[in-house]
Amino acid sequence: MRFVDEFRDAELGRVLAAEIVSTVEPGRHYKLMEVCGGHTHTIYKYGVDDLLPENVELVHGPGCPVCVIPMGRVDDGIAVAHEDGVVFTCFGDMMRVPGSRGTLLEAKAEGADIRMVYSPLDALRIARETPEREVVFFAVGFETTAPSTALTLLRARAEGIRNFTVFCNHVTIVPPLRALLESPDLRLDGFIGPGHVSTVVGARPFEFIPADYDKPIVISGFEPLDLLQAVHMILVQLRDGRCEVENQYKRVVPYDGNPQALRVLAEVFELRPHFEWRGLGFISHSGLRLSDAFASYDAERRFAVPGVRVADPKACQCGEVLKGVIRPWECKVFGTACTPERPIGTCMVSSEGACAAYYNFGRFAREREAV
Amino acid sequence: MRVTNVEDGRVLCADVEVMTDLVGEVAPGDELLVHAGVALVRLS
Repeated sequence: MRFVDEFRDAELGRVLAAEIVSTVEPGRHYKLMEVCGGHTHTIYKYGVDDLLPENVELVHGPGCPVCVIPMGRVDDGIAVAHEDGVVFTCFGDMMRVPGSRGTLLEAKAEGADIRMVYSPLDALRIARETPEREVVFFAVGFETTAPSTALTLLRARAEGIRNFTVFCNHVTIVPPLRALLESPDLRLDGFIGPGHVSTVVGARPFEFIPADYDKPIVISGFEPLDLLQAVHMILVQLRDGRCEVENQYKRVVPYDGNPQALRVLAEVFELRPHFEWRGLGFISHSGLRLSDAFASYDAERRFAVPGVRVADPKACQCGEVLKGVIRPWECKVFGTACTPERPIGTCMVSSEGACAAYYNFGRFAREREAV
Repeated sequence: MRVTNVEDGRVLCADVEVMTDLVGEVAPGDELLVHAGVALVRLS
């Protein structure tokens, strides 16, 4: 398949792995963080980290949009779903994220009309077809997904559809990166930058990482060779004493992003003063809400959203996984009490979550290695 | 995803409707990077 097969070439992978080995400084430990769930998935699916020398460690940041949703927002969503006349719609992953009193899937089993959709456009179609019901879309995701919600709202307004609202949980990538860089828990040497977010925002918003924190960042694609090349580019920067934003994913990411997408986001959304992230707490200006021009489409203004705040279960260490402080298998409940079939934490739900990706693709290899 | 049909302003990729507002006009055979029902980048 074009754009895919040429980036999965095993021989080229071995060549890149050898280049990486020859670039690292013996005796130095390198800790690199990827901040996109798609990267995490690829790393475990293709065993990218198995090709790296032992002193190059990949840790996983808060890049999975489902994983960073706090339990309270799930509870809020369930409360809206139980309102009379509501059809509550969300992506499939979101249905299995635990709140403090269960999941959306369990709420559906109890009788709430909750439906899985593939895009907000599907939710809008339900609203168009059932004008007697109030259709709510549970919007999650970074700047990659927010344009889809924004364009759907523009379409709803253009068509005069009034029974459609959005429960907005969109987040932005730069504030949590800054929070991580300010964290005393974590020493990082560089970042693998998010490829799809960057198709929208471009590479420019990441310039603060080398400028303010002296760390390199390389925007990367999602195939195994993309990631190996990005790791190599970071290591070359460190070897040469450089700290820059580089773009490995030039075939898709323009340095300045997609101006039309940025205009649409600015028209439909505004920044919240603060937003709660699982594991990271409240981060200023890190979440989006609908602008006043779209107030009538805002579920938080149309419904009595309780605004629940809930602490994570004590056994769950998703917060530490999301901050890269521990690896998935170091969590106390990984693979025992917490599995993809019965997740306790969000990182075990989505295929982009570090725990689910590791459980599905890497667990048994590590067990063999340990034996 | 590959555009399979364009009809009355609706763009279909393998029977799934895709919004193409961010990439301009498309034609059958064009390849798009699609996320949550919106084309973010034209690949071809």
